[in-house]
Amino acid sequence: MAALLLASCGRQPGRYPVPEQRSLDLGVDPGGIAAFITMADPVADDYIVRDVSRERGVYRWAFVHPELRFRVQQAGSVRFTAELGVPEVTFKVTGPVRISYAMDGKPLGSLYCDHPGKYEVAKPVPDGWVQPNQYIHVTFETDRKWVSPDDGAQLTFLLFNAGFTQ
Amino acid sequence: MPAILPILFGFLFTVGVSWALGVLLLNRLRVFLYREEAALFAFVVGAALLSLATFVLCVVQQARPGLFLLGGLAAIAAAVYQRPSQTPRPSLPAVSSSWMSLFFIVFTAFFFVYFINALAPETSPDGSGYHLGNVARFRQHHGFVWDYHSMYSYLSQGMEMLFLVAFTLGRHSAAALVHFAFQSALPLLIVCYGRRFDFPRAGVFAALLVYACPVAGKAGASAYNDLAVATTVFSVFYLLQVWDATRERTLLILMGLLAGFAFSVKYTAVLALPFAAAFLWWRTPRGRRPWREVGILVSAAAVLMLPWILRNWIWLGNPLAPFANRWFPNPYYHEGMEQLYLEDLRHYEGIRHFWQIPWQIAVRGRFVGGTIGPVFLLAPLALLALRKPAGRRALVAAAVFAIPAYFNVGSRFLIPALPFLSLALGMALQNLQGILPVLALGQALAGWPDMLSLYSDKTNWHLGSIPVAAALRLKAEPVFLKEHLPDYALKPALETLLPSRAKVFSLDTRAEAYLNRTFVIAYESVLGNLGQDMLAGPVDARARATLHQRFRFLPVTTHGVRVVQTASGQDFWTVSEMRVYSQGRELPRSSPWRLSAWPNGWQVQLAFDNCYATRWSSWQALSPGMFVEIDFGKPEVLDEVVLEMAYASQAKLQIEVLGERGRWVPLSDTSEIVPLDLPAGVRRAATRELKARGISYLLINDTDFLADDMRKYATFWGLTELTAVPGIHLYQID
Repeated sequence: MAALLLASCGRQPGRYPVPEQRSLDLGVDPGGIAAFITMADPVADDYIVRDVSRERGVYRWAFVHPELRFRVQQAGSVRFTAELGVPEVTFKVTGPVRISYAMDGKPLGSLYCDHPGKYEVAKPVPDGWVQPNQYIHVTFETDRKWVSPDDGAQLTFLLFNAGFTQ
Repeated sequence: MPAILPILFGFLFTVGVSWALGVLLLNRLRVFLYREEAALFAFVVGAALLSLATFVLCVVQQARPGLFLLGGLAAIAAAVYQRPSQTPRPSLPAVSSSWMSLFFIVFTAFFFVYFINALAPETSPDGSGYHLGNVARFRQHHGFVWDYHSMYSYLSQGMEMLFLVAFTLGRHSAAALVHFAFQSALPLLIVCYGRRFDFPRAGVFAALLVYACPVAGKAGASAYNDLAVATTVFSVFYLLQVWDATRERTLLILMGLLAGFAFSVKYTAVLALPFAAAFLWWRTPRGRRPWREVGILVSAAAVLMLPWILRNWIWLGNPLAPFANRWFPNPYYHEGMEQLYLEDLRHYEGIRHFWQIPWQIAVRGRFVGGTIGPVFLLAPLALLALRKPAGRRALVAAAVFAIPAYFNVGSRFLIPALPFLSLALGMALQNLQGILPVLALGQALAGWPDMLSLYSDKTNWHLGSIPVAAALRLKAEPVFLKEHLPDYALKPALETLLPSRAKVFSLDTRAEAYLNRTFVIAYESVLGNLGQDMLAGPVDARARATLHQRFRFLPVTTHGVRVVQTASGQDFWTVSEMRVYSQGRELPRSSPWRLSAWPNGWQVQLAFDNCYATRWSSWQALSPGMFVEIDFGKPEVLDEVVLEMAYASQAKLQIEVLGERGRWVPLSDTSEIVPLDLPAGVRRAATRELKARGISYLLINDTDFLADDMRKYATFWGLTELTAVPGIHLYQID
């Protein structure tokens, strides 16, 4: 009896075809990723895709290829805004820095930082670049970077906030 | 009053048929038993036969009232017809009148308490939940319901088979009264045992200790099965001692049937069979091996055990369901959930030091679900009974039948050991003048409903009153049920607003015995697990895909690719979606593809349905060799595999492709992880997926983790609240 039972070893699952594919267009959820974020916000980590430091504060360090994500409720008359900073300690080494930014891989604009300090970006977004409730990925690139002599960390600029306004 | 007549009829008919079947068997086997013993054993062994007969009717979907009445009346008629032709049985040796007076005073008082409580509408958690919930389903379908899946419907249900007969004729209270019959038979058997083996005072003492035991009192007056287990196990022990004295071979058949019945009532009582077999082995003279005796015992036990084993084996692919899923994997209950369930039962919630346990079990009852009575604090004195052979046997039996209590910390699981422990205590103290009556009266006093609330914890599971008005239906049954079962207030809404075949999802157990709709309870089945997982995702990041794990490698042409998990850990491994890319473009999922996974391959499609409300899960702790696999059916070029999944810190993954020789070749274990852009509308997706699986209604308690979110964002979930009673909301999925 025992041998018979053990020989059965339950049921084997087999192999299955690809199931019916579900639609991802199901409407909206409350909360979640929004159109704008300040780095002091407790949920700021949710907006960071890569290359932005994770410690909480009014600003965060951007590394080599920083990337953020946003979601806008309504398209039309959308403006990309951000507050960035170039600290004196890195400026002394890098000199003037050009920061360019792009949306979903499409170049949107750039900013020339010729002195240490805080800079603001406010750039209208071309029509059709933003779809309601769809994720928008914003990437930044710089032509100079600061390399830490201690641990080799590569820093570019300070990020205070970023996002889309209407 | 007329309302209780069907209840009493259902109860008395079931007990009467059991007794009649037992009488027929005892006469057939020509077993020598004393008159008092014969009456009690006839009931217990007859109950085993009635349970088996009902099982057969359930298999063939013929469990109908007409058949019960016809078959039952025939059995009673046959027993009554045979009775005059039998030689009268002698009576057991007498007990002193003072001891018998003590016994009958206490017994009668507690008999009244238990009878009234059992007669009152059934409101115990498991009784109104799955015990009678299953029975109500059987009654409705005239047998087993093969397409209903719950771990509780996989347990052996020998007692439910008796409940079904009583329930069919007299509903819930009739079933509870059948359990009460076992409860009341047990002390009478213990007294008989003491009288037969010449320690009548210890027997009466033990009988009173067990009968007045608070947790046994509560369980016995409810539609549970613990007292049926205790009575049956004690009967096996009793007959073993009789066999040891008489060597009557026909006793082996009785013992076997009862050991098998014990298993069919509750899996944990399987111990009765090895215990009996070991006893036979031990008591057979040296130089002779009792193969024949053990063979008879096991064969008779198999008659009652095999039906349940075979039912589960054929139905579920797991003869020991809902346990042993590791050895018998099946699509109905996950191994990991079994482990979590068992771990939960094994764990004392709230107890910090082991020395708190005896006090909790004997007196307080807060963390162990009931008390066995303060007198049992003297249990260590029972070791003094080791001086006598009968005491040693009782103590060994107590130790063996207490084993399940190690795996389930509820004090109910000690009940089968209590008769033996009480007997040993009685034997140890019987020569101390006056001590046994004082202790027995002390236990009776401490076990009385009004007294319990004075010293035990207020959450202790016990009989709190003697509800005469409710028992006699002078207080309307719905009124009493509404006071004791919050779910009952939903009955009108559930049974009028929901179609008869509606499925209702709930995170918590429900009073299924009273609510005539099908419930899918979160922890009881694979569908329940999936439902909870889907509903948890929108409100708990750990239960949804949050990461995008990308494996890149040089282009390769292959027939198949798989992700293999190579680490060990306690977490489950989950995959919401697995996608394959070539030069940055996702390979479209096409019909030649064949998907597989291990473990839980039955749900592998959840990782390929393009839906973030569902996900494949191992549903068991991480172990090397787990995989999710695609067979393309033709050569494909690929250079990237992406998993969209929840954060799993313990998992280590590698990509393997199918080589030309049919061997899996490791390709990459290096990946990049970035946050996943989870599409909006995941709440709606979750309820949509539930509805696609036949669940259109949700019953949510205010204390459920998602209750606030659902109430606040009902429209985002796609829910309409149909009704609410204090603490519970009934939603319909739009």
